Amino acid sequence: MRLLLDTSALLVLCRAEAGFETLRDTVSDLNHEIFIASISLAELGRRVRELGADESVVNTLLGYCKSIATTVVIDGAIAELSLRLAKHATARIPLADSLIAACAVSMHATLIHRDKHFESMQSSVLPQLTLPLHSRL
Amino acid sequence: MNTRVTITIPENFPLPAELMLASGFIAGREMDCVFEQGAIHLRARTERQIALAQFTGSIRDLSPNRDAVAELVAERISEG
Repeated sequence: MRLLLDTSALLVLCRAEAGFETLRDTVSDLNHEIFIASISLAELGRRVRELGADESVVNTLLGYCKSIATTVVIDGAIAELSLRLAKHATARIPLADSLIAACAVSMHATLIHRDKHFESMQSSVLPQLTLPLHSRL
Repeated sequence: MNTRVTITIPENFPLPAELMLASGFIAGREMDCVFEQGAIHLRARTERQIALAQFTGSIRDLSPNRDAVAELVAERISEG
């Protein structure tokens, strides 16, 4: 199975938040191809920095991300695809989310996330798995 | 017979991040090891699995009362 991890899924993993065990086991399964959108590296780095991590920790974590998943670079074609996806969403979707969704669609991957914005996109267009909310361990 | 133990690498262990990743060690983190024939071996893992093991739960102790995902979603809304 081809899976693309949204930034929210990466945060669930590194914060050991609700649902992380199942997600960890899924990502660890080498039968799955794992992807992340390049914008998620920036989002994760900023979030981890704001949580108090120093630069060496941020850089190490981003290095782990690149070892865990193949990075999908956001180019012109993906940017245009994000525009089309946003147009057909049932509610307004933030720019970062639309770019990440486009990365998943372009890689024919199922998006794993914990962000309600993606629910405005039909699963027939964007296959997705939603992680459980809250109850941090 | 193998014996599984857990070791902790000292915080100031002098290894660069790339080598820690390659070896599966990171300062301050516990790692599963196996004693076998007088030597210590890490459990056999791929690079992805080693990185995932290190990544998972790696910042859970930072700002424990903040919901990182909720903050991310709020920021996405504000930045549109």
